[in-house]
Amino acid sequence: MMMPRSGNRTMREAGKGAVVGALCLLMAAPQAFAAVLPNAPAAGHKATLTQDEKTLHALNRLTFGPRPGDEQMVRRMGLEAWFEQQLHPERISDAGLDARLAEFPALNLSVGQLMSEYPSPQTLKQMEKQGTPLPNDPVEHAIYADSLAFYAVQQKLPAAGAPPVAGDAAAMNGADVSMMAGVKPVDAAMSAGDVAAKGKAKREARLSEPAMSREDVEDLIALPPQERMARLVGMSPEEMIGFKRGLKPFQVAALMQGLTPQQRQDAAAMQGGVRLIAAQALDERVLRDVYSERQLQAVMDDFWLNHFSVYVKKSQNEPYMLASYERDAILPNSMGKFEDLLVATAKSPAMLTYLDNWQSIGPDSKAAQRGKRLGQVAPNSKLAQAVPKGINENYARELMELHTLGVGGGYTQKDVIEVAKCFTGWTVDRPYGGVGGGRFQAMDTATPGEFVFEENRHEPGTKTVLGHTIAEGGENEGLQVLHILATSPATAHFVSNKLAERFVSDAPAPVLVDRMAATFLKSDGDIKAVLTTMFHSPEFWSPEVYRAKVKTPIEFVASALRASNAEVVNPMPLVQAMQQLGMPIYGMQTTNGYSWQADQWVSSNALVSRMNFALVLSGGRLQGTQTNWPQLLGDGGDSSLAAAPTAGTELRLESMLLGEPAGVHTRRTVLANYNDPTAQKVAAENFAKTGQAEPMADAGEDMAAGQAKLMRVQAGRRGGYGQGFQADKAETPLDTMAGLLLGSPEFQKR
Amino acid sequence: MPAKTFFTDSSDWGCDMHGRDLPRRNTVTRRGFMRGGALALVGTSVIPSFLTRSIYAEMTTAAANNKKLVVIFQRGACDGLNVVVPHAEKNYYAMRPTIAIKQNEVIDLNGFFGLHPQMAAFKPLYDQGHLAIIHAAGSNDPSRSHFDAQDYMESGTPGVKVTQDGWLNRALQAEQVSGKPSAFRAVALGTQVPRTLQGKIPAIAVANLNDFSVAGKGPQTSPISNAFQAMYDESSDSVLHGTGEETFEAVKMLKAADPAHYQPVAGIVYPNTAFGNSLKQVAQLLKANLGVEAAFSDIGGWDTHQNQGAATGQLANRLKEFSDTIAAFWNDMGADSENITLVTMSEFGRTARQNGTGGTDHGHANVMFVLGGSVKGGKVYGKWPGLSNEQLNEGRDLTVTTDFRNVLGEAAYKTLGSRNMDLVFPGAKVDPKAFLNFA
Repeated sequence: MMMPRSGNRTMREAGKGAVVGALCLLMAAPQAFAAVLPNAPAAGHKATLTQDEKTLHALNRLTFGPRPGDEQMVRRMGLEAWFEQQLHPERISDAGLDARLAEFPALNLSVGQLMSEYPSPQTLKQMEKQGTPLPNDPVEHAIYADSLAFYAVQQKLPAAGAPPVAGDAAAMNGADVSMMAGVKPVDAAMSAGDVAAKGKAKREARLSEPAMSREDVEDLIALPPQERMARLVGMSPEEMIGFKRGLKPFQVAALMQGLTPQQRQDAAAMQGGVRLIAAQALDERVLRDVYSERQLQAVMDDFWLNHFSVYVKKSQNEPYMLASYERDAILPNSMGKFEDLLVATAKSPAMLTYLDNWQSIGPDSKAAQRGKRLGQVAPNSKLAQAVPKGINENYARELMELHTLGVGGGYTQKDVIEVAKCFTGWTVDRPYGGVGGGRFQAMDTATPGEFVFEENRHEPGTKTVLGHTIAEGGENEGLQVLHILATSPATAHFVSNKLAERFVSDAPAPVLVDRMAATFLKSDGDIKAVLTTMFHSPEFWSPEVYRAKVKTPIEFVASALRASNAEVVNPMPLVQAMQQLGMPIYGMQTTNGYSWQADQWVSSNALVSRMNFALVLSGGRLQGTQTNWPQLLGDGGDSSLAAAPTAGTELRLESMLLGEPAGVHTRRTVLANYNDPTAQKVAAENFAKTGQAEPMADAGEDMAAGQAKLMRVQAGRRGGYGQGFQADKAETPLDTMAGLLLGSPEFQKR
Repeated sequence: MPAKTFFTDSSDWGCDMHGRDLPRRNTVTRRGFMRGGALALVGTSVIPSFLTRSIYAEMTTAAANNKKLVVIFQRGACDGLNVVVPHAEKNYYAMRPTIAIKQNEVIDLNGFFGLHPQMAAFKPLYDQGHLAIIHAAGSNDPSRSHFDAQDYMESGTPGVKVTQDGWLNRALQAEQVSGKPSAFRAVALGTQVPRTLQGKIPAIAVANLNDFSVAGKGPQTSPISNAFQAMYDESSDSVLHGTGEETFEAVKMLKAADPAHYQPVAGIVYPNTAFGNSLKQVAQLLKANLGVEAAFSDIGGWDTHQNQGAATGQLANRLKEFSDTIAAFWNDMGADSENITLVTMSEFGRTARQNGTGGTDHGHANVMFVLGGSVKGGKVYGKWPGLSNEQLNEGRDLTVTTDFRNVLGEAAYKTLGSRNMDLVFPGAKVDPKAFLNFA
């Protein structure tokens, strides 16, 4: 089924304009930063933390790192009151983040809507095969037609000797940004007519579409926004290919200027939806970590997304499910009851897909019987081979091993099989979306891409799980299993231990974990209550754990951006940086999520990357992200500070970035070296770029940040070149000073 | 005493303790002495880099014998039946009407098997006895998911998802080590350390040798890099301190050794592709004598569901790149190739029958190559399961007759000297007595 398009699109348009203006407020006013003189370095083994240390500790552990002014704010509020407020995110306005996310309208769509509005290669392939007509809505028509052309070209690339991409999963996945960025301007394309199947016939007669002339491109850009968009929408796929080839990267900003976020998104989608969808889901994570005022919720969001890890490259469908996974399953339950969270993840299309449960089918179910008959009649038919044949244990095993009981949590292989039987029939409705999927259209439901329980696939009979008898009861069997697991002492301990690893120590004191687990059981898995117990435990405030955790790469990046009050216009380079730092977002290939232990994150490659990242960020050479050290130091107009910072400046930077004095050696080293003029430039070269994104793809990204920023970007560059402010900005000694501190051992800890 | 444990080894993999390397053994005492001295110096951090290199490079069994294991992963499930073609199997042609490699096109090896015509570069290596082929190798896990199967093959534990480390890292753990090995002991070409190399032993991922540097690419470390080094040297955090030391050592080693100046031997041309560049850089690292014991690289593009071609086409192009690159690497290494073992793998094979779209779907067993100085090549190893319908796995794929861990185990055992196969492949019961003895 095609979702009605023009209607909801117009609806979503309403009210979008208002938030864009709010963006300019986000560039924080210069901090009236009192020259805080550093306290004497903390003594080695004292009994308790000072009040200031406690404040810093709380911010380091319960947020993605303090921003300038946060410590003063917490001191003013009082630690308890601040913690209490953070426990209740609904009481905190997050308008700033909301405004940034408003630039990604697709984040609000359901899985089915996403699949229908921004079709995946799989959907397109099916349409092509079946000769499904393209949608009538002009915008949607353009997205479909251009995507068809784009994927056709992409499929040609490997044969044409394009550089190989790492991993087959990556090869078929638009979310691999580095790969997508490597896609060259097209030199051949199919012509997508009004019927998808026509394209196939034309494949052999590919066009070698010449690039649109510079004049034509400039004329198009000069059109008023609405006419410009209409022109883009009205282009034939061939013309679009020519246009993309003619468009220079520096023209993207101008092309997108004045368009609404929705229009920018649509324009970006014209070369393939999956890429846009994946990019938005990844960008969102970075923006939330850096900018949410609900920091504890953001930390818990990150924690649970890692605990219930899914992998963006699992399949072409997975990217479509990520926004919904975070928005519908994780965020609303991140500080609620564990069982609710568990049920939400169990039913999430992202998890059902990632751990294969959507294909699991009871061997004695009606569906299996039908499949068997089909297999006898037509054993070699595509359909017979495509029908799932039996149980898939993947989810059942990970559910117990990784989500609840933990390894050695007292379950057997028999339990795994029995649990898997209980979950047969828990699947995804029309997993390839509502479009073009002929064989799915027969089903009489209206929620493509969402959870559905299919009785036909469910294994009949009584099951026994961990000693409990589970009577035949359809969907309810799975819910019973989840209840048994959520209320198990093993789960309470396993989850509490992991929380303590994240918040307290790589090797948390058993007495602390026991105390948290007791609260977990007593409160029916109330996550707030468990966190409160932890916060009020002496182990949390022990001087031994103070600044003892090594930051994970995302904690390093987010805390650096927060400490420096950086302005992120385009998160994509940060998303790519996460890959280089060894912690790609939604990129943990194995089911167990990323580790909270220091030794996983401190490798040579990681350190080299961290140091270079620090210098690149501080020097304003990271595309799409801007730092302004003089402004941060409350010295906006004084350019002499940038060129000639003093030892006093260094002390203030230490205090702002580290929250306390650096070690003597670090300070001495910074003071001796900040005057190296070439540092950032070379670091930028070393922080190997994953490649320039294709102009149009970057459009949704680059321009996602709205007009206010666009204008500032343009004002900031004289000749109107490049992707923004980075290109012609010279690094200063102050930049180097900040970069050295961000790359210092002290900054790697929290 | 470290020297003792070192050299009581009496394996058959090149470290001949009965005379051939007597001169080498006579230096043991001196090395042992120097090692102690050098390590004592580490604290003061002023060891000349040449000294650091030569000493650190000989702290493990493999390094002491100058052995190197190069591991190549073909990601995406390569169609082994069209790589080493069983051209004497009648059913092969029946099952692949349009994609089979014709008998007059294959590069015949032994009257039964033949190489794909685009793999001519492998033929001399095979004829010289350096290249061994293991056919019908694979995993005992039935998964047809790229994701799972790659994961299983890299962790070396099919069916077990929570394994944290990779088999090659454990193979290095299984070596005898005394003192501090080279920072470049385990290196992967790419931005991330692949699953295969993850684990306790520090592994370095280098996307580009020229970029592995902090704030400065010149022959000397930059002042900023030195500044960072000074900070990390003094860090009270033991993990940061320790890794910082390794990092700066690696950066310095790389600058001092300047592997980039080791250009390929005249006349040797690596394909100008990501894979070609990777192996070219592996060669540079090895030539620079940085103490590399295990190197990893991968090549994608094997998932040929559609239109895979036959003697020419998609798969043919990929195979040409693959074999040309490996042959270039081998020839580039010259006399040093004697110390190298290179092994290739892919997560699973493809269906014996071609599908409806001129390609093949996910199958089971596959072919592995082992290339090396001490390899007894010129032979196709493994039991051939046959291609008649009843011989196929689940009626559709080549059946696995050799567990891939047996092959990797033998390569690790005989190249790196990893003796503890239970550590390298837990639960697999890899028995050295059951090795194929290709090396």
